Amino acid sequence: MIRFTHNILLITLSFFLLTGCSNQEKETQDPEKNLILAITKCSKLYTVQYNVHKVVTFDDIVSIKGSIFSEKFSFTIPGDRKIAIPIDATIKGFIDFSNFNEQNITMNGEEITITLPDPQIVMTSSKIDHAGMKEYLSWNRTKFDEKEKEDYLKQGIASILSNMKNTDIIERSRINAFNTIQPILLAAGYKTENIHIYFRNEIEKNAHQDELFFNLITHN
Amino acid sequence: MKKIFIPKAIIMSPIFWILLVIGFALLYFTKNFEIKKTDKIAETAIDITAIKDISEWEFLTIQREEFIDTTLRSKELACIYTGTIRLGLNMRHAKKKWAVCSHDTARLELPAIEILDNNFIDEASTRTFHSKGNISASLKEGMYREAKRQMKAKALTPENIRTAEENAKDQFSRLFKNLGFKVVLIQMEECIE
Repeated sequence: MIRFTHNILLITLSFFLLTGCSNQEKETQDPEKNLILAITKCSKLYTVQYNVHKVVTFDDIVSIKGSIFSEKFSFTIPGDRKIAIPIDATIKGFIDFSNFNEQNITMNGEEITITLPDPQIVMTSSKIDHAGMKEYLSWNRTKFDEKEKEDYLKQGIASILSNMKNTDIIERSRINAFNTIQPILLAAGYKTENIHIYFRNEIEKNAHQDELFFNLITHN
Repeated sequence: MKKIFIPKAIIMSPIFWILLVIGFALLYFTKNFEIKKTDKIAETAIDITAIKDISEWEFLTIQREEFIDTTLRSKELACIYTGTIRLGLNMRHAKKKWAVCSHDTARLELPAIEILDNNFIDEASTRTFHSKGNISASLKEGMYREAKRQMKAKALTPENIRTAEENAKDQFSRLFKNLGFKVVLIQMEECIE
């Protein structure tokens, strides 16, 4: 009996020693706190900024459906479980000059024609109004956890970017790009009437890139 | 002292057994049982609060994550903040005649490299690593400010500023050479942040 107890103690002690070692290893293998994701050289001209406000709302309605003795039934769980999260986002329109080269410029005597890529849009920042966040909960419903709030915010940002396509941000971006590039060409000695600035018609391609960029932001 | 026999009393009660049988019968005869839960936010309009015409050239993008944690009495919160710091030139800060061209030479006087927008954190993408207790709004605001401070300090290094300056000179030089100028002389103001 004593020998049996002794063996059990030895096994238990060994177990704790092993798990202790692996925990220590886990601590030393923890990634560094502050992480640089990417440092990228680029050449982008931002020409317009939209400040946008949205109140993300979610109403958690739980309904139970089924049928008993061929009679259908459906009822909702009573009680409120709602949340409203105000957020502010900054959206900018920009021209990407990364691939801009001599092929984008055509000089014909005193006339100059520049073809620019079509503007793209990007969300550069978002801010949650924590003080303005409101939860409405009945006694029988649970509080919202942080993971749920993160999910609603992601949907909110997707909704903002989707709605931006219905605004005139692209058109404004084009006009302002023209107003930025034209003075450069005037300084270079060209006359106003001899300056022609066009945009490549790549709306579909740019829309795809907006989605990719949005995905990059949300998954970082 | 009297002993309390509540559990046995309930089990011996005929009402308990009637309810149990009804419950099982309902479960047995119920078909297509479905619990449906809302998973989408409500569709609401966006409110455009401001539109600004800007002229900002971005030459270096620094994407960072900051792990910020805090403990206050019984409350604990640890979050990972994501931000994108953009270094470049704000042409609104340039002189009126920043580009002077004559014959085949272009002389450019560019403003200093700066952080183009001091709002660079995407707070909506913040990931909560650990949460305990009822976290107040002021605590979250404090963590956001700390994340911003740390990101700014780590992004605005002499090395990054130098890289952005070199890229700016390279891009403007290329632009003016493509416009036909053989010599492009660039002077930039020093970054003082």
